Amino acid sequence: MARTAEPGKNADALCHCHPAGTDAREGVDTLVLAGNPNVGKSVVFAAFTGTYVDVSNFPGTTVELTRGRFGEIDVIDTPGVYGVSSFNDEETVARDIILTGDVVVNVVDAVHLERDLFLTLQLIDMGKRMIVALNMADEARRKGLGVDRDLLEDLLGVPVIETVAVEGKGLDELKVSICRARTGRADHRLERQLVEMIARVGTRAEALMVLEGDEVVSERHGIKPEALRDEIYLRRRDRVNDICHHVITETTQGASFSARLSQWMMHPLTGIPMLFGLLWAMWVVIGQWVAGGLVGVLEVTVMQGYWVPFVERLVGAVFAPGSALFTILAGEFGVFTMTPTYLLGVILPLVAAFYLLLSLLEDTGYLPRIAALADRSLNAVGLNGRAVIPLILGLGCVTMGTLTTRILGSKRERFIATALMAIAVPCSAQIAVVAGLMARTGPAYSAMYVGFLLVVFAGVGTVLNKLVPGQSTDLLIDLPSLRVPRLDNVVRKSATKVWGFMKEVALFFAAGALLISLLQVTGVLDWIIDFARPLTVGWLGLPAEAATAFVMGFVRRDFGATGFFRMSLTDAQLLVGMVTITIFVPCIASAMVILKERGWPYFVGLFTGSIAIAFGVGGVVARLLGVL
Amino acid sequence: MFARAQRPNKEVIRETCSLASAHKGDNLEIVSVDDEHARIQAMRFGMSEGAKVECITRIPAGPIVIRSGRQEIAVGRSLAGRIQVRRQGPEKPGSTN
Repeated sequence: MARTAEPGKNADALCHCHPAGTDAREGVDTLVLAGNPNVGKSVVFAAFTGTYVDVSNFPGTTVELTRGRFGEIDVIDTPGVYGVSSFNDEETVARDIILTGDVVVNVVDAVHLERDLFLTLQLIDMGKRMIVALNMADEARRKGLGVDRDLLEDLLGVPVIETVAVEGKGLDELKVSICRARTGRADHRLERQLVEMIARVGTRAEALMVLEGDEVVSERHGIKPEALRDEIYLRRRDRVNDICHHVITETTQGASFSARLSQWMMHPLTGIPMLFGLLWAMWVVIGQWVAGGLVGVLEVTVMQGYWVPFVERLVGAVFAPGSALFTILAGEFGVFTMTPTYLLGVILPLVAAFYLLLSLLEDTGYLPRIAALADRSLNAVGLNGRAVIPLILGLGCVTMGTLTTRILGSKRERFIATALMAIAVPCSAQIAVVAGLMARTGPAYSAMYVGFLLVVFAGVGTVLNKLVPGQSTDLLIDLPSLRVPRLDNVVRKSATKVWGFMKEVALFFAAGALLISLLQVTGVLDWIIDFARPLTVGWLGLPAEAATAFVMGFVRRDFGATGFFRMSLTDAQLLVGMVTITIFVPCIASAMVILKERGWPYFVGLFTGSIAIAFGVGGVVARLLGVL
Repeated sequence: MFARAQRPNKEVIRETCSLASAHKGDNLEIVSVDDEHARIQAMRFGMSEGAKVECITRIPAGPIVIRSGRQEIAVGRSLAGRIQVRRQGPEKPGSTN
């Protein structure tokens, strides 16, 4: 078996063309972690940096960066990417961090080497000093895949360390290997052009970027990008295939059950029932245990039982109860009373539950298969299968969903997905209350509730699909092998996301509470309710108090629904109310996040649109059911 | 459906068709990807011109699932319609030399 990457070339030529360099003797100031999504980078990162990390946004983007320290060395984690370029925010950020890093630790998934080595070879071509962590080595063995680590190290020209990051195996060796980091065996056919470009650009890494046609890097040096990307990528792909052919041995057949399960998940006949099974499980765990039980304990017993009276006493000592300032700070919608109560008592448990769910779906490999199943239906509303992720999170909290639309491929998709979530997707805070109310009516009414929402979803989506300019992207995703979830991995990933989310939105909730308190104190709130009354009674056929419930729904979506508990309504009236309140404007916190993510014109359009659609549909339902 | 043309030395030439018309078990060679953005991403996945892939399954009214090397990839139906492929003979794909 040939032990070189280019059989037939003599050793002399290799020495000249692959200045692989001696072991690193210079100091390392910055360590960069790079790799595909879901290869276990964050576990490796945690192993290097311990618990003190700083999460911040890369300037000018919404991409998050995690930094930490390993002794005297700065460690930066990059977003999971399949390659480095200017295609999207993630790859741009990864590129810039890698360009400035001293040593790169490239984490690859031993089970998916064909996919992961593309980035590895790109990093090697860039001439970065690096080491490779061959992660999930245990899983590869379990699947009957043997990876020849020694040969891989020879072929790549950089140290390769086997790890099982989630079990802590190989991490010590990885840390010690940093000093052995070196440049690897690059594509020798690029040498001449690279050397020419380095003279104009300065570093090998940037020279490669220019050759690959990266406009941003080219512009930084005031030169035109080259058009060699296709060629370079093709050769890189060939080298990956060649390396994999040499280092991977398959000892047993891939598990056929997992292949069949994978297909069952995606084919509508079997996939849709499975999805319903998932939705039902979500309903029981999240809808009942979390929203019912946990929230009940946190919101009512802990927050309202202890925290609120405490704050009221504290603030009351300074400002007279009933005064404007007291109301704003510690009143019904007080910044220090309602905001923490809502955030910690309602939002936190629900958001945590939804992120746990999503991480679980991701870790098992079910999530991309749901995306494949839903792709066709989502195409009808101008989205593709990937949109299931923000939509699932939108069921948790519309703010979560809106923030997650960042993963969608085009502005058009982000536009449509945000609108659909704000209008037709009830958030979990609301679902819990709605379910409680609908439980009093027959199951037919619950079915109609879901049915009407689906119709609105499809209707709004189809209209937006026709009207919104631009191009949506198509589904092109990797389906990783199905596996049993690693619970510690799932919990850890969720914890990071929940923490990030709470930090990002806490301010919006507080600002929202402030706004509402101001409206209340100035009497504007009552004015709005009076204004809404005729519409509520005359058009929707509901009692006048329902107007209050609608406006309250703007404050907190569960408030809106709770108002209906106190009214005596017929089943049909209840349905009208629930449908209207679900479609009605998103709560003020999510309204603010939407404003931040999509801008003012969008916000105004969405706001007025959702009011119009809410009352429009509500009125139609009222007439259909003979309420009026 | 593809047409067969026979050359004097009995070599069989097959026309190209789109990936969207592939069926389970088909061995295909990618001829072109008529979508600039997708072409680059596809290249990373190993789906470049000349690459051999196998169709694992078609999801009714949904994406086409193919295997490229050891990777399984789901390709949206409309994108699959813009990827031209050529059906291969009975030899297995994925052999590199």
